[in-house]
This record gives sequence, C-alpha cells and structure tokens, in this order.
Amino acid sequence: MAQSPDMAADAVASAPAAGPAQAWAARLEPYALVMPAMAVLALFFAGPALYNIALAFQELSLFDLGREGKWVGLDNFAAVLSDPDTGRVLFNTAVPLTLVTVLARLVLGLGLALLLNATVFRRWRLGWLVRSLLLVPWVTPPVVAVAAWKWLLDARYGVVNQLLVGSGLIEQGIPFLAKTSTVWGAVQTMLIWRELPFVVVTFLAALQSIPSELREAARMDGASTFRIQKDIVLPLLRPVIAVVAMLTTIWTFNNFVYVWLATRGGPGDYTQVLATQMYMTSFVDYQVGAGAAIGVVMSLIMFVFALAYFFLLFRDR
Amino acid sequence: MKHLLSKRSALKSLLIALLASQVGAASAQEPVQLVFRQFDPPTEIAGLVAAVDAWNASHPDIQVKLETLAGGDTLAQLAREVPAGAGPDIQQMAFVWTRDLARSNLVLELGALAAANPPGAGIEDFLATELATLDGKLFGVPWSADTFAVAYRPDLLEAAGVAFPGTWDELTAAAKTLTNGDGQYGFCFPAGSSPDSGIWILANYYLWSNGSALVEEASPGQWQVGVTAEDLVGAMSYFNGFFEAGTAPESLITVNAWGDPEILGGLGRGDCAITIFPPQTFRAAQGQSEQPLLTGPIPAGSDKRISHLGGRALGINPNTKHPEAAWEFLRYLVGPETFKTYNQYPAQKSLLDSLDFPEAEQGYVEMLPQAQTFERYISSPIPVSTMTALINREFGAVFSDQRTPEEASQAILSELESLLARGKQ
Repeated sequence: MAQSPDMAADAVASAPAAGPAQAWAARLEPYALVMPAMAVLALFFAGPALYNIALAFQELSLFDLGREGKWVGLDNFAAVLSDPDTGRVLFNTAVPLTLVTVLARLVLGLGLALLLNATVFRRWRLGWLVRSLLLVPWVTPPVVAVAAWKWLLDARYGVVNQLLVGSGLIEQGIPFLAKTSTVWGAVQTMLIWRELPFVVVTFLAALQSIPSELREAARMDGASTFRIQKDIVLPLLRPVIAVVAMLTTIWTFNNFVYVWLATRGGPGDYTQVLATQMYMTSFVDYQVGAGAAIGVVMSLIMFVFALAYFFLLFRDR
Repeated sequence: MKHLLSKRSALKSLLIALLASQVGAASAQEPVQLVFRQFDPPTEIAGLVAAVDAWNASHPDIQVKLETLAGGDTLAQLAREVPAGAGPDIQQMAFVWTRDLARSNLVLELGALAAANPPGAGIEDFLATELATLDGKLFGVPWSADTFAVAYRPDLLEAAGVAFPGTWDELTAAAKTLTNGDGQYGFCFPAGSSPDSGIWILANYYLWSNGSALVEEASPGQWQVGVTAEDLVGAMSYFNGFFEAGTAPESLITVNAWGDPEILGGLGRGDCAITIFPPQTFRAAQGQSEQPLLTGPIPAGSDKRISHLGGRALGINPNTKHPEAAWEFLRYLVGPETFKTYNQYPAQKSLLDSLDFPEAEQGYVEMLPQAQTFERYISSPIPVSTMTALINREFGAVFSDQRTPEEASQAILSELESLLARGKQ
C-alpha cells in the first residue's frame, strides 16, 4: 500500500539509523510507486487529448499528419461556431440523440429493474435466466446490432414491415431509415435496444443492495407498494440514477457508431450529429484541424454539462 | 602467456567469423517479406488471391502477404501509417487518390524504377497516367480500369415490350412501363446520402452528358463553378422523378453501394429490371441471377453519351525497405499473368486490346472509349471527396423531401463557391 509523502517523511524521521540516501529513497518511494500509473495515464489519455487540442489550433490536412500544420489561432473554432449547420447539428446531438434516448433508457431501465427485482423470479429461481437474456443486446457488438436492425426495418424484406403489412395496419412497407418522419425513431430504437441492459443491470444491482428490512418495516406501518417505491426505493436509488444519467449522457452525446452505421447522417443531413460531422470534416474533407476543433467543442460542452449537473445535484451537501 | 593470449584471440576471431557467417547465411536464405494491401471486397478478389499465390510459389525469395482493408478506411489509414514510418509495401489506390498522396510524400516517386525496369510495354502503354503523375513525376502505376454500363434483364424488357433505353428520357419511359406494381421496379440505383454513395456517379453522368460539370478550369489555374442552378435542379428532379413516379423503390434512399443486395440481388430476382453497374458488380449479379443479364451503354444526354474512367492504381510506400522487390511485384501485378486470374479490365492498353470481352459485357466495350477520368475535378482546389459528399448529401435531401431541388441546388452552388474561394487562399 502506498504511503503519502508526509507519512513517508515521518517514518524516515523516526527511524534511528537511516542515512541521507535511505531518507531520500523513502521520500521518493511513493512517487516511484505511482509513476507507472501516471505514465500510462499521460501516454494514453493526456497525450492524445493534448495533441487533439493542439491540432484544433492548426490548419492541417489529413495527408500531412506527420508534419506540423499552420497555426491559425481560433480560426477553426470560429469556423465551427459560425457554420450555419452547427446549430442544427448540435440540436440533433443534444435532443433526438441524447436527451430522448437517455430519458427513455432511464424510465424503461428503472421499470424493468423493478420488475426483475420482483421476488417471483427468485422464488422460481429464474433470476439468472432473466439476467442472462437481458444481457443479450449488450453483448451484441453495435455493428451487428445496427446491421440486424437495418435488416429488420427494411421496407421490402424486413420482418417489421412484413408483420405490419401482414396485419393489415399498412398497405406498403415503410422505409423507416429513408423518411425524415421515421428515421430518428429508428435510430433511437437501435440505440435504446442495445444500451438499455447497462441501465437495467446497474439499477437492479442498486435495488438489490437496499436492505429488505426497510421495505418490510414500511409495509408493517401500512405503506402501499407505490408509497414504498416512491418514498423509500427511489430516494435510495437517487445517487445511482444520477451517475447512470450522467454517464449515459456523455457516452451518447459523443457517440458516433449508431448514427454512422444506421444512416451516415442521412437522409440528406437530417440525422447529422457532432460526432459524424467531426468524422466528415476530418476524413472526408481532410481538414484534421477543423475536425479536432469540433472534438474540443464536444468535450467542452460535456465538461460544462458534468459540472452543472453535479452542482445542481449535490449543491445541498 | 603471450602464446595463450594469441590462442584465445584466434579462438575469439574464429567464433566471431563463424557467427557472422551463420548470420550471413541465415539472412541470405531469409526471403524478402512484402505486404500488399488492397481494399476491394473479399468476395471479389478470389482471382487476385490466386495471382498472389502464384507469385509466392514462383518467387521463394520474395514472399508477399495480401492484406485487405475496407475501402472507406484505407486512405485515412495510409495517412496515419506512412508518416509514422509504417504501412504496407505496396498499396492499391483509387485513381483519384494518387495525387493527394503524392503531394504529401505518402507514396514513393517511381520514375527511376520505371525507367530502369519499365512495366509492360512502358508506362505510356497505360490508361489514365495523368492521374498517376504530379508535376511530371510518376507516383503510381494504373492497374485496372473500369467504367459503368447499364445492366438489365433482357427477359423483363422483352416481356414488357420495351426497347433498350438509349437516352435519359427513354430510361424514364422504360422504367414506367417496367414497373408492374407487384414488386417489380423499372430502375434501381443507390440513392443514399453517404459520402461514398453511388448517386455521385449518376449525378455526374447526367450533368456531363448534358454539357455541364460541377467545376471547370476557366483559364490555367483559375477554377469556377461549371454548373447552373437550373442544371442541378434538372439532375435532382430527374432522379427524384423515379421515386415520385414509384418506378424506383423508396428503400433505395438508404442504399449507398452498387453491390447492395437490394440492387444486386434485386436484378437477379427480377425486383429491378434495369440498373447501372461497374463490371465486377455486374459479374456478381450474374452469379446470383437465374436469368441471363446483359449490359448496354449509359443513356445519352442532350450533349453526348459519357461515363467515367475509373480504376485502381498501385503505389509503393516510401518506408519500404525493399523498393526493388516491391517494384518487381508491382510489375507482375500489372502484367498479363495476373490478369489470367484477376477478374478486372487491365489498365495496360495493349493488354486491354487483347482481351476477349464476353457478349454480356458489351456495354463496357462500348463505354470504355467514351469514358473520361475525374481529372477535371482532381486538378481543382476542392477535394473530390468533399464534392462527392456535398452532392450525395443534397441529392439525398431532395429524395427524402428534406429540401426542394431549388433549395438543394442553391446549397450546392454556394458551398462550391465557398470551397473554391477557400482554395484560392
């Protein structure tokens, strides 16, 4: 176990026969112990992040990555912020992609977790089966999940449309990913289906950590099931809900995979989000500096969001 | 003592000499290992695999490992790898990439190697060499050439009493007659909005055949927008007309690739009567179709009939430790032995002339002499990929009723103007 520098110094001072070299070694020991972890963090996290920030201030082509670009100050940021499309792309990222899917996951996740926490599953020893089935979407790679959903939603050969046509609800298959009226719903469905299990499993774990005595005591005091959930379970789940909400928001806001694989930002640019915009700028228009600026803007938005979120959530403490 | 020392020294020298000779012998026996990276789908490269295997069998001293990377990722991957001192020894490139890569020293200048040991009958014997050169220096060798042709089901045309459409207007009329309301559509084409969607090809064929192009060189080095709002509205309305008339399925608005099962399989199943294909996709469709398929020329516009000359070039990585061996393998790839199994049209003119085209591929025979490269765009200050993404996005916006053709054409014109202005800076 690593000591703090002060503790190490005290230990050295109290040692009767320690020489200066040993004293220095003891002082340096804690730093030496954390050095590997710090080096890994610097190499794989801080380094790329700083490189990306530096790129955002340069005009640099994808083909010139090995060289230093032309330093252009805040020009890339000015270009991103003055681009007439940025507002719409930011809205797409914040509302249909993030807000809608995070809220849906929280509500559905909580509902499913409460359901799965029911004693009936434990009584019939079915808990393991339900939890395993629940994890199927999560263990499916996103590429496979999106490909499968695209096939399911195909206008002519997709199962969903065949069921709808077969049941007489519609006359012709709906090209869900081709129409502006349905495309966001289709993308959201794919994302929620794939990412919901994380929320359910986390909530389920939190629910199972609530002592059953609390519920039993409330029940003995005459509280209804609804009151127990509302006044005991939900307040105890609050910190978990807060963390899950923040994590899923950050992951979804920065997500590239679902929109890119499902629509490539289309039809037209109807589902373009910041992550796909960043990819297009860097790898289609070859402007790596401008792409990095979009990335920095995304990080800043999420940083401000996280700060504000924690402030609002924990201001009473 | 002195005697002992000299004995020891002699022993040491002997050991060193023995070791050195062992290392030397080992390195003499060690074959050169090259990596050749290509990006065509694995389903289309059986012939290439056979050609590489044949090379490896006959060249124990130069062994080649064939590597496949998805087309869309290849260019970015190269741009990351080469500056870091890595990357494959030999790289397959789209014609349109070579100059961009050359400009940033991401491919080796091949002039000296080509002069010392020319490929085939000399580099002049290859098509599209203008795209492989930058400032008069050679950076790639054109490898395979292709163009697009109309692919169709002759039995469906015959059953509907429709003649092969020779013009864009005739194609519209034919599609209408061929659509039967029972799952058979007249004309299928990729209409997706992705930066790599096939609508880019069709949009340009339509514009070029009607006498316009997105950008043009007004005077040497001076570029301007070469298309009017009216031209663009015409092109967008033309292709959107198939969706409005119901002669193309709306599901194609999400399809980007020519080889998508919706089109490729659709032709075989008879869901689509007419489409437009490059040769390798046509062959794949033939493999899936129970009925015979034929090809014909691209429809003519008011000005001319035209298609593009596309294809693949080969380049050598400036980081390669074996440029001569890589060049030797490159010469093999562009030569006749490779094309015995590699199912593509060679970019070497004399080799192409000697080729026997199957009857079903006569559409390509007719279009190849009329095909023009994208040189008209590649030399402009706007990256072709940016133009492609812009056109695909705005056509997709029209197909999905997100914008009217008038709005979308204005968006294209203003973005082209702004990109040209930026290019002048």
